[in-house]
Amino acid sequence: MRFRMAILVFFLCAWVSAYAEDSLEYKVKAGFLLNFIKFAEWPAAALGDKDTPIVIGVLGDNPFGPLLEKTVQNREVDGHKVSVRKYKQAKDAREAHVLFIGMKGEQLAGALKALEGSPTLTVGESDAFIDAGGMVRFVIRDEKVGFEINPASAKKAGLKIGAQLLRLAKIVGAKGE
Amino acid sequence: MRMRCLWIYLAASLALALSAARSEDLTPDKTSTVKPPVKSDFGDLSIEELMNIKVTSVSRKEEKVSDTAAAITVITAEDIRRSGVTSIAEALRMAPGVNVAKIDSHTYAISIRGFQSGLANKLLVLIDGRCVYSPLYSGVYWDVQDTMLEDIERIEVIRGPGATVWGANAVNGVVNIITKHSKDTQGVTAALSAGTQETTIDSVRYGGKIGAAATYRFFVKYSKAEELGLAGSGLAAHDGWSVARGGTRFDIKASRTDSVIVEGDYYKGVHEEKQLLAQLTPPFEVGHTHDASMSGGDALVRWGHNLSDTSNTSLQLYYDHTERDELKLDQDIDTLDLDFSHHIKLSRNEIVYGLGYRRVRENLNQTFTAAFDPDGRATDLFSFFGQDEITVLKDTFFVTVGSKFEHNSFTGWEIQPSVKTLWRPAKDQTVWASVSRSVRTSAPTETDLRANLLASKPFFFLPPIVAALFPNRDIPSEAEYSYELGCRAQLHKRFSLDAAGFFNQYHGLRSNEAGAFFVERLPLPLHITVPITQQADMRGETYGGEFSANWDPIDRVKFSAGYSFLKILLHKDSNARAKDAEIAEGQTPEHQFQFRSLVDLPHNLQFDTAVYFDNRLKSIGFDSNKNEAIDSPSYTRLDVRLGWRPTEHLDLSVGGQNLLKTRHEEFGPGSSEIERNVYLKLTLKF
Repeated sequence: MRFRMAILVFFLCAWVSAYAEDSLEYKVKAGFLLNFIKFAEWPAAALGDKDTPIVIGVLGDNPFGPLLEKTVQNREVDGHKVSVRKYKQAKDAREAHVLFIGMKGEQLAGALKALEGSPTLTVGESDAFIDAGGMVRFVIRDEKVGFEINPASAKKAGLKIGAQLLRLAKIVGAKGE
Repeated sequence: MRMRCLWIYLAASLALALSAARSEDLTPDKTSTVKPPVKSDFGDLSIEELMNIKVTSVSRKEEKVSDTAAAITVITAEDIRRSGVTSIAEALRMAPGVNVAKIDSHTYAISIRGFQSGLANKLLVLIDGRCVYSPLYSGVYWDVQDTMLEDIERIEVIRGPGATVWGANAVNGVVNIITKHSKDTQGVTAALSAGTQETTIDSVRYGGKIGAAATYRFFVKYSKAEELGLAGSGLAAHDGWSVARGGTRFDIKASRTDSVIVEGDYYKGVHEEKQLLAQLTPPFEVGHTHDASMSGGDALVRWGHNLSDTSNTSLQLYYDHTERDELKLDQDIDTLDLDFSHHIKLSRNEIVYGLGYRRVRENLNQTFTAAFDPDGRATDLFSFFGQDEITVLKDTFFVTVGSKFEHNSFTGWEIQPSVKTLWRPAKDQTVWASVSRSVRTSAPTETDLRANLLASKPFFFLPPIVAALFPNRDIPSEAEYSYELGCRAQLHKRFSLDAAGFFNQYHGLRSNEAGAFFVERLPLPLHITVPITQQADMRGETYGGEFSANWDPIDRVKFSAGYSFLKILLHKDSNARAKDAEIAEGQTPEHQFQFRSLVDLPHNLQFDTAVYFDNRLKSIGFDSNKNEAIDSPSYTRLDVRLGWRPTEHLDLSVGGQNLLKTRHEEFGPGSSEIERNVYLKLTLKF
């Protein structure tokens, strides 16, 4: 009897898992990435003509799974299509307009170094992301997603960040600045 | 029968989980005005809307936990809120392997890995870096360790020794209570709750800003619990209790590299008590009732300074005052503590070292029941520690070595070293092992106390006989050698496991040894005294393990389960004679089990449940009529909470604790019967 109950419970659980939804946190973060495009301004050369898509890149670990693709599907910003690309090497990611970097420690530092000079809005979530030279870092406060921006490093890359975005962000600087 | 109840309960939780899973898509935060999006992605939402959606983030904290070579559990603010617990002591039940027994309406026997007792003494408890165990007996007065629960950021529970960093008394565990930064507690919050047993728990907090660099908060809280009935007889236990407290915290960002925290608390309370006290005249043992009072306060300043990206220091000073006026003991204790630590991160080494000084001044009463000699004294504790975490293989294998060196006024120098290793075979898996030595320093209740415990006059022609505890000035500290092994694995994004095993060896555990009787003339009348002294002539081993699993099948449902096993073996040295010296073997539950579920339902409702099982306690009491030991039966406890949060300003919940039975006992004869408590709680935020 007890054994049968256990089996039943197991299947119930399995069924619940099958229903499992994608991570809410990363759905929200995917929404943020799309929004960042609307409020950042790239140098004209980086954007190209209307046929050039705006690229949201993911470098390193991809915590979004297929969520990012789902979110940007069939969307346009200022007449540009938005596409998602995944990168293994930081040097290939220089073409991305917005780049989520799922890396930590020295790997992260190396990636940010390789991206230096390219007008790529770097986004991350590791604790040391801003200190390592990243521009936007997701933070979770009161169980809600917020973000920090280091305007200085964005400026260095030739990016302009809209006032509306800055108003909602926590403005930070990398250590030693 | 009970088994079936549990199954029904499990099935019901699952059914609820399912209904939550199938109900229409995502609930953006209850608090926001955003309409739930029909689509399954958030591409259409603005940043403001996105910022209002509530997500949960377990991973962040677990990341840190997974780097620790110790058996650690973190109780989060969300755990506390959704469990409906009303005190820090009750919140500790959520950490697997912590033994929590409620003795009466406000007294607890709390221990980790054994030696549970109302006077349990092998735990180190810290609130924001302030040590709160009593220097008098090395135990914790849980009835006055409190704060506004909404302001607690997290409670870290470390099972096993932490003496290398924390020092003496961190023998079997460390409970580290950390409150929120005051920038996270801005505005007014009022939490009002009324229950059938815990009649009132009301607290109000206000948080504000001073310029751009400083934030602060103030809170006041009042708690009251009704009197319970005694286990067995149901007679009034005289344990009604109430405490009023207030506190504050300031966080100041003094410069880019400096931050300062200033904290303070004050409390005042009363509890009823009834005690049998010995006296030299008939009837020799008299029950006294008394309104005991307790009050105290503390002030703490901590200055954190960043020397560079990889080097920071912390300097902390606190003062703590504790006063209790109880039938058996009237005490007045001041503690001053200064602590410095420096943390340096090099490429392969992470070094922490620190210095500490603590002065404790005691002022104790002199009555026939309990007299300390000396009745007051100041003691000093000097300490130094150093620890180095060495990266042997980058990101994969770490070794941590360190030791604490302490000098105290009771037993002189104590050395508490440890070696820990941590291996990460894969990204989400951690295996750790450690060996350590730690001590519990002898306390004034062992070295200075004469207590007249019992008096009687068995033969009319003889003078009265008194059994009295005598001080043992030279009693050495209790020492422990601990061997631990554990692993943690995030097997799937939504499923994690944690297991820890331990083997501890103890030296110098206490036994109460009776000596040769003698005639004492004072105080009059003349009486015969049987002296009892505490001797460090017991050895012991404990072994066991704790297992826990967390599973979030979907975003809105969380399950967690825990099981712990513990075996205590005690041995008398050749000169130990006391018959009951090994009695503590059975006085901590051998098996403990817990299961919790947190479910977010549609319409901003939450349904949360918790089941706890504690195995029976053996020989916890003694029936002198039948001349046999009494056990305390095992018990299962069920807590349920239904919460509704229609806006971010309002949180309404109704719940019950100990729902399975009207009343049950948790700690044998002499303890109170813990009653079912049904409560209503309202939290308002502006």
